[in-house]
Amino acid sequence: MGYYVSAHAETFGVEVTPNCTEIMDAYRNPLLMEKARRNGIRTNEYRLITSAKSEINAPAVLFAVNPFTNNSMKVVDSDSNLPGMIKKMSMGARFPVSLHPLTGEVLEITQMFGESTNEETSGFTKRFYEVFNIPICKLVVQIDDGGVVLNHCEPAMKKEVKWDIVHDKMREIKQEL
Amino acid sequence: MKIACFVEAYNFDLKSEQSALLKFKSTAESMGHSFEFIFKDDISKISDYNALFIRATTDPSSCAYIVSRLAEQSGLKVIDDPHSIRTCSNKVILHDIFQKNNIPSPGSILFYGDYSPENIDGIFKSLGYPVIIKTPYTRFSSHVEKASNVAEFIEISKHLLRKAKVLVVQEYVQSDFDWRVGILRNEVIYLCKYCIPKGGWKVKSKINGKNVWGDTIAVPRDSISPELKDISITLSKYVGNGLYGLDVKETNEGYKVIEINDNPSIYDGFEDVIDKDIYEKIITELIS
Repeated sequence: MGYYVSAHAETFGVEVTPNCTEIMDAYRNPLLMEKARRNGIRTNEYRLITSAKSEINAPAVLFAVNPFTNNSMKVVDSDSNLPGMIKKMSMGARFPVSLHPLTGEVLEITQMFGESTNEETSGFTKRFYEVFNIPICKLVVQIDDGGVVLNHCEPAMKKEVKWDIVHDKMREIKQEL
Repeated sequence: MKIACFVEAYNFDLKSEQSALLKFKSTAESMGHSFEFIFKDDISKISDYNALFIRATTDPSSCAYIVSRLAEQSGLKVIDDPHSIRTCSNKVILHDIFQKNNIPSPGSILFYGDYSPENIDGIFKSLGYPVIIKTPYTRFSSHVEKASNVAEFIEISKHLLRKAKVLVVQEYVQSDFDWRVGILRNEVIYLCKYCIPKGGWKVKSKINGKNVWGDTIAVPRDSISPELKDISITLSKYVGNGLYGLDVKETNEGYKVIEINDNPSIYDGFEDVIDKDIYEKIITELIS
């Protein structure tokens, strides 16, 4: 429903955060990756595929890029499991799958106005919020020797959000206004 | 110039669509440009091209949106651009645009699932019987249903609300055909009548359990009435300056716009029968 609120506001000339372009840029995996790259947020060499290819290897983290799936992350550890998982997630090659190499520890964190549910990633979520302007979302990242790598963004569920942080941030924003 | 045409396998199923795609290709090549069909697996190569023409079905959740946005960010000329896809694909956004800009259109109300007697009464008092119910994302008349009474309205809307958070409920306007006005960069490039098949009420109707398409009758674009032209161009300017197909009813009270579509159908032997320069105009726009 948030998308409609943004669209409604934009149509009637009201400034809105996030706007529809920002929402789409964050929640469609290839667009997320490209915007992150352009803004210096670390990503890894993701690939869009619809079927298994010989040059693709496990371990990998896969995300479905289709209209139907949320919470689609799958970690595949062995090469033999890749073709089956890609076939399933692509719905028989109908939709692309975004494949990211697994290079570190996979974490799911919630970003709230630049704050993180995970202290280790607080600098990363601050930068993410500056670039993407999404007030609350879930991020899938990997932590490796070089720091935090962005893999995916999707809407956060209510239970995944620290509402005390959100309320504090809302108060700050109101005061600034 | 290198033009990429984003398609999916189904774009080659119908001979008339396949033939139109080949006409785009031959037209571009005759003008000295390359024209390559690209598919889902080629998305990451998009920056290799100068322009992108999308013929696969578009909506913000489709691959077509991704390729459109990536192309726009890479500086390509894009038809359909992401803004046009987001706007035209969503009937709720169109409802807002029509209201804000006083576009003549059938009465319509957004419905979020409030089945209180007052709300249902209000809808039918305002729109009359029957009503048309649409999900935000409809294509080729799918997810567009007609309810003749309250019981049908409740049954159909509950079914559609399983996959949508909001529905557009619209006054039913009976007609034998819809005008289809093809617009490119806010100019009319073709004009057709999309006829309603006998026994149906929309261009693609289910009749005796079978999907039946009405005829397409091309009409010279220069014969468009000044009022229809004015409404069509006014609306297209509110959306953008891309390629659009407007569906318009002609009624005793004047023209009423049903919707504006990005990614309009262009099939060989249908939209292009009279104004044959559609292909050249679109390629020229892509390379401009």
